[in-house]
Amino acid sequence: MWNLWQSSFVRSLILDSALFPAAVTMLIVVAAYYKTRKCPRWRSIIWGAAILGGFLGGYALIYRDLSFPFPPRTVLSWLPWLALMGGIVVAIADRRKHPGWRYGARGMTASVSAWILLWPIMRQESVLAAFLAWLTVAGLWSVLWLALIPDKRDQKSTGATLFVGAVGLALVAPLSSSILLAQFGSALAVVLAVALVFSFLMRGSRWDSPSADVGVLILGALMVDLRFYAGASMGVMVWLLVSLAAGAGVASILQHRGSSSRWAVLTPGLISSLPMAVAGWMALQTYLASGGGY
Amino acid sequence: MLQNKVSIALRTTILSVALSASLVSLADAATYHRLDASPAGSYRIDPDHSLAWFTIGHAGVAVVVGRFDKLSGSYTFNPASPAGDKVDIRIPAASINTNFALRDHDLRGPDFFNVREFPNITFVSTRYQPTGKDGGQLFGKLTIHGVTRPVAFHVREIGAGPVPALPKPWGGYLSGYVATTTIQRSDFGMDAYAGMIANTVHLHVNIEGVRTAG
Repeated sequence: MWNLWQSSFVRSLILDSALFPAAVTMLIVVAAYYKTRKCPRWRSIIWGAAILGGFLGGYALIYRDLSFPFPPRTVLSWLPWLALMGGIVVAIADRRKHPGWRYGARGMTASVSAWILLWPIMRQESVLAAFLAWLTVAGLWSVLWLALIPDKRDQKSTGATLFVGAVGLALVAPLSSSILLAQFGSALAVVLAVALVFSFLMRGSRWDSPSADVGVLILGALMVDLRFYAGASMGVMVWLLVSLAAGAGVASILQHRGSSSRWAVLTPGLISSLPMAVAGWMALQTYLASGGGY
Repeated sequence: MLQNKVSIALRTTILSVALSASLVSLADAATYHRLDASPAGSYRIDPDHSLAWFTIGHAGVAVVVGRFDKLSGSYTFNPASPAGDKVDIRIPAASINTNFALRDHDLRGPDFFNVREFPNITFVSTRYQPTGKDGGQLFGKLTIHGVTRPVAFHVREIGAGPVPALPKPWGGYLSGYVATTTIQRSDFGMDAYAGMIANTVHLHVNIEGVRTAG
C-alpha cells in the first residue's frame, strides 16, 4: 500500500481526483458558512457553488486544462461551460413562478448539451442516425433530470442518488477504457459526498435545485462521453440509467409519504446502489473476458 | 553401339552441367539490391508496403512499440526543384495496434486518441530541405487528437526505380522513404497517465509509393 503512495502516478490520481476536489469543496462550504451567518438565505446556494467549484478544481488538474478555453477544443473541454451555463439558465428559470419555465429550461439545457457533446459523432453519421442519437440522449437526459429534480423540494436525496451515480461511473469507466472519465466520476462523487456530509452537519441547511442541477449536468455529460466516446456497452449504460431512475423513484415515494429524516435522504442512494452494482459487475465481466489488465 | 551410348551420356551430362550453371547464374541475378534511379515524380502511397509506427517509454523500465495498420496519401519529390516537394499523409487513428486488443481499445478512447471525435491523424508538409544526396528535413504540420503542431521529419530515401511485377500485375515505378521525428504527446493534448507513460514519442513512417506522374 505504501509502495502505491510512493508512485507519483498513483499519488497524482488520488490527489487530482479526490483530495484536491474535496479540499476545494470544503473550503468553499466553510468560507460561505461564515460569510453568510448574517444572511442565512444565501446558504442555500453554498452547495451549488461548492459542488461546481470542487469539481472544476479537480477537472483542471485531471484534464491539465487550466485555461478553460472558449470555444472548447474537445467534447470534454465543454464540461465546465455546460455545467456553469446550464446551472445559470436553470437557476434563472426557477425564479419564474410558472412550472413550464422549470421544465422548459431543463429540457432545453439537456437538448443543447446533448447536441454539443454528440456533434463530433453526428457529423460523421447520416442525418437520420444523428437525429435519432441526439433525440434519444436529449430525451433520456431531460426525463431523468425532471424525475430527479421534480420540484423545489430540498434536493439532498437527489444528491445521494447522484453520488451513487458518480461512484458507479468511476468504477465502470476504467473497465470501459477510460481512467480519465473515472477520475472525473471520482471527483464528482467526492465533492457530492463532502457537500452532503456538511449539509447534514449544518443544521437547517437545504440543497436548492441548482446544487443538484449542476450534478445532473456533469454526470449526464460524463455518461454521454462514457457511452459514445469510451464505448461502454449498452447493458452497462442501461443499468447506470436504471440506478438513477430507481433513486428518483424512491425519493419521490418517500416525499409523498412525508418522510424527512436522514434516512429519507440516504435511502434513495442506497436503493440506487443495487442496479449500480449490477452495472459494475457487467463492466467487470466484459473487462475480464477481454483479457484483464495490462 | 557402345561408343554411341557413351557419346549420348557424355553429351547429356555436359548439357545438364551447362543448364545448372545457367540456372545458378540466374539465381545470382536475383540478389537484392537498391534501386538508385531518380525519385522525381508524384506518387501515391502504397498502403500494403507502408507503415507508421512509434515507440514510447513505459513505466520507466521499458519501451513499447505500436503501429497504425492503415495509412494513405501522396507525395511529390523532385531533387532538381525541392521547392515543389509536397507530402500529404492520412492515418485513421482507430487503426492503432499495440499487439493487445484491450490496450488498443483504451488508446482509441477519450484518454488518448479519442478516435470518435478525432478520427484522423494527418501530416501536410510545408517545405523540404535536402541535407545530402539521399536525405533531408521535411517540415510540415502534424495533426493528432485535433491539435496541429509544426514538426520536422528527418527523411532518408531508400531507393527509387522501375520494379517489374509491383504493383501487381505489370509493375511500375516505385520509390521509398523512411521518415523519423520525435514529438511530445502533451503538445497534442494527450496527457493521460503522465507518471506511467513517457511524454516523448518517437515516430517512424516507412513509405513506399507508386509513381502516378513523372
